[in-house]
Amino acid sequence: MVTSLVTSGLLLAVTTVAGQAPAYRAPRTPDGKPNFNGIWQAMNTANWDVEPHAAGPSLVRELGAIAAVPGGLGIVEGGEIPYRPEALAKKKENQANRLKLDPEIKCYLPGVPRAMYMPSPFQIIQGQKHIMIVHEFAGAVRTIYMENHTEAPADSWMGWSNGHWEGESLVIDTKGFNDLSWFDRAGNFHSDELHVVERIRARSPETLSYEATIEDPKVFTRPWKISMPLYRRVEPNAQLMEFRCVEFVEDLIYGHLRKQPSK
Amino acid sequence: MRARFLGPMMIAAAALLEAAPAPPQAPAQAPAYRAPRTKDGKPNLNGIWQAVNEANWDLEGHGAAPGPFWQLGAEFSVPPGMGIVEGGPIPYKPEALQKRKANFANRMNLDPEIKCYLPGVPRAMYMPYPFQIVQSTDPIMMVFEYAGAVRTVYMKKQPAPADSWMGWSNGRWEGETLVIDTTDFNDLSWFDRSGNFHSDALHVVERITALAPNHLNYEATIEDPKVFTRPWKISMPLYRRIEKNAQVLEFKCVEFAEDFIYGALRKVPLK
Repeated sequence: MVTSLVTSGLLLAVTTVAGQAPAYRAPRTPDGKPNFNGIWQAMNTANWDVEPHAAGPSLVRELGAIAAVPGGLGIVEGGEIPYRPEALAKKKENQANRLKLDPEIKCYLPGVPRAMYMPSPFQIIQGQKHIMIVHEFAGAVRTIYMENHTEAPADSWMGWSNGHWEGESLVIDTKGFNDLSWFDRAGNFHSDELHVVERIRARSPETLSYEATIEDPKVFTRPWKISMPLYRRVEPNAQLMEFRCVEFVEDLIYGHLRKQPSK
Repeated sequence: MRARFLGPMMIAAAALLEAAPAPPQAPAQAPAYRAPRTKDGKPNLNGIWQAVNEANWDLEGHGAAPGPFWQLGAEFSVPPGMGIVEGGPIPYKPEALQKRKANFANRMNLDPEIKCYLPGVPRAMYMPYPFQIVQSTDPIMMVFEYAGAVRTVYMKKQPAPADSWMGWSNGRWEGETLVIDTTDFNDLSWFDRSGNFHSDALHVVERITALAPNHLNYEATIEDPKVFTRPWKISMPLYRRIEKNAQVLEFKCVEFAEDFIYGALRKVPLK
């Protein structure tokens, strides 16, 4: 019952965002491109689970309601990720062991697209040749090359991003990922063949529309798509702050090496 | 140390803000935005709204910090925030500041949020969950996803029948602004996960004004002569959830907190 409600709602949302977007024309940068400079943040529960999900208890019972999972309608078009059967089994295993395995817990880099819907702000800094996206979480950074597109020099957490403009949309093609990042806290994952194509356009002065097509033939039976709005942080003093979490996870990663191990 | 850290960052932020298209301004500087009207001619605040800030971790400005529970590593670390208190620290009386510090030290046992208790006011307005404003001439309701909390704002003044978590709210319109006067709180809710607290003498006056079609400006003046030396103020924007399928979902967390509250009574107690 929940699923059908949720799925129909999702389909409606996705067609509306992609199809009927009223032609909003963003303010321009000096070189005439849509101006996306600013501090942005997602406001949804996709970092808990990109698929539709009900509210649920925390895996750590000592934390009671404070770390419980909030319900969410998901951001996956059609509701369900098209896993290959063996990959779905791995996803379930990831989910069951997420306290040990989720890269977020260890302050590893979030990867793409997860960096875009972490519950922390990020800043877009737009130049002609490069566009930078600076994320508060873990100080993650993406460089989007707008000229001289090349192959990734090596695999990495955040991948290698080549971008171009299609009218009002910034289109970012990212490959060269390692196979270590996850899409969310629910264990949704990818391999090193991940290929993400993102489309970002302004839908009003304070909101962006974000879509990404995700392809990974080792893990999924077909490409699939996510979409969500991004919100400009409109406080007059909005800014990225420092959130270097490496030191926060030392006990988690190395605590067992203490003379009196952390319990 | 906090001030030293923020100084240069503020300058950088100011420089960046110049480059960005102007965000909606706080009402003081703002060209007066006139909200769409309801049928009875009042500003229409109906919709699903949510704060996007770190105030539920700590109302005051704060740096990132490890979480109180190391097993969750970075996932449950404290994200940094600029704070929403105007004009510096909360003006606690000395003995109240001691209690706030003790609250902080024991927050993983005492924070009402852990136990799925009701959030109180103003905390309900900046929990990391959406809430819906449902507006009639009288009353105006606010329905919160977190714990299914509800506020009824009476537009014709009514006396409070008893103390409660969410208090008793009487509202009125002042031009574009919905003014809500809330009293008769119990002394059990906190303002955030950092142990900021109040007594049953709490008195909150909120002012909610539309800044733009998808933004509200929220201000609250907080008065509690048992705990603070003077009234103080918070302010923040609220954002309309603009997904076409946005809705307030069920987050009834009582069952999620049972192990926390009663786990010690198991035959094999939780560790």
